Amino acid sequence: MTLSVAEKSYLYDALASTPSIRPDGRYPYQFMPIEIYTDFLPSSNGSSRIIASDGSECIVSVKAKVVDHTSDDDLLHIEIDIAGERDDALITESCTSLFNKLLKNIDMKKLQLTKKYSFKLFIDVLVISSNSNPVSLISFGIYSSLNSTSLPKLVSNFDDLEVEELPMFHDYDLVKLEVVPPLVFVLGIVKNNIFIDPAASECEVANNGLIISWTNGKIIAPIRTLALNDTNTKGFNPNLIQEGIKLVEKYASDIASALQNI
Amino acid sequence: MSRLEVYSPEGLRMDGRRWNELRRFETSINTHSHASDGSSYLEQGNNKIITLVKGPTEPTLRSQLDQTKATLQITVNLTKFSKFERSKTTGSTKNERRILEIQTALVRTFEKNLMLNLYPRTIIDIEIHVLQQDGGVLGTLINGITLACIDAGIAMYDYISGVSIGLYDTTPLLDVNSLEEAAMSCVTLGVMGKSEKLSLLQVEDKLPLDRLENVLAIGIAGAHRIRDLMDEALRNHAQKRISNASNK
Repeated sequence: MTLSVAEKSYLYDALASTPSIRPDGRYPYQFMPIEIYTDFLPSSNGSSRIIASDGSECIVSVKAKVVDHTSDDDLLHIEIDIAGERDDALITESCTSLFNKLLKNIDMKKLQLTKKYSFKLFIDVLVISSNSNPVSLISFGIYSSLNSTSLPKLVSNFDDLEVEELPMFHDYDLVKLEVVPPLVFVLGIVKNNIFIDPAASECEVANNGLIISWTNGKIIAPIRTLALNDTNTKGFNPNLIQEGIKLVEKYASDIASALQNI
Repeated sequence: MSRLEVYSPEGLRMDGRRWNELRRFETSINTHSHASDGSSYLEQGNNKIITLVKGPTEPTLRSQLDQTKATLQITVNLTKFSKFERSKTTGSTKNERRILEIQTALVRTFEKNLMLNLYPRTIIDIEIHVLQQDGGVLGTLINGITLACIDAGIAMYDYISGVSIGLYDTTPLLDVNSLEEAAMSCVTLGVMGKSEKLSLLQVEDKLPLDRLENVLAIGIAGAHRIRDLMDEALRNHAQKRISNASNK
């Protein structure tokens, strides 16, 4: 998005004023409306399609495979593909590394099948279009796709170290995967104001950005700063990090329960 | 040879269709109006594809600029999760030879059908995401592009409809799925509108020459039916938009 100098200055002043006025009238803690569809890919164990009102869209597929966890203990594999970007582009690689770190917070015990075998989850993310930084959208997509994931039900013994047998599954019964994936929030900073989910126009004038991750009622690593544009980026008051963390702590559980209800 | 019966003596295929029946064909257009100038979502059997047309716009690179006509660029993204088994390739699938081949075939097909001379010094970028594939993908890609280009309002001579036909012993089977595709020789056709002109013909397997005419005949009939289905979907969509506009 390209804004003129006058537009930028108007937008900056509006966002920097107290209380801040966002171009679409949202509160500092308010997200853009999103639409989520789950379970639309029958060949995947779980899937979701998430669309923000600015047209950003992301599709997530979760596929499972049985592996021997005594030899392969990496039970989550995530791949992010952003349309129009190369696989080795900065944005793609930084997103992938962020989520690789983040998904370590998932309880891997839930994926264990027997003493020897576990499910390995392949999470494939396809970002079809994004107008601002897509990490928040991706995390919502991963959250809702993992929530809609069902895995085959084990019918053989849990203890298979003594008896050499391969896990056997029920013909059609499925078990819902119960994991709590972390959520990621992108915050924009303009002067001394901080707000959640910056739109493309807000990113254009923001002085800085923050990435804050959250799971199960608490803030977790990684917390990162993020330059939202090339021209306006400046330092910011460190108290704003505290403020941002408080903002996320206050509203994240509402967002998680909204996503859970799909 | 697979243990599944591809075509039963009673004349039924694995999924219960007869030899001349198409798969479920569902489509909607203008699905991504924010992200592109024209878009379509197409489900042909278990194939699910999203097509985005961006353009005609000013090209970013000088090398893409043509003084006499628009440059057509087609990118096919076969996602790793699109097949039943997740594809194992470690690196990118984008530069695989098979995909480059598909892209070239599509560009050559649509270069002749779109009136590119009307949009000189521009680029038309078509992006296709295959979310799920189940045989006859090339035909589905053709249908998706046709629909998205119509949504984008790019001038074209006629619909191009794509379909795959397999030959099982002596019986041609219309619109093959992935199991059938693996079990027999297949032909993919791209047919111009209601004519019998072929704008694409892809044969990757051996096929007896004396059977080819038969196969093409049923293929063309199937492609005409797909053209009608696309036309119907487009007209329904237009009708809805007109009634929405007049209600305001």
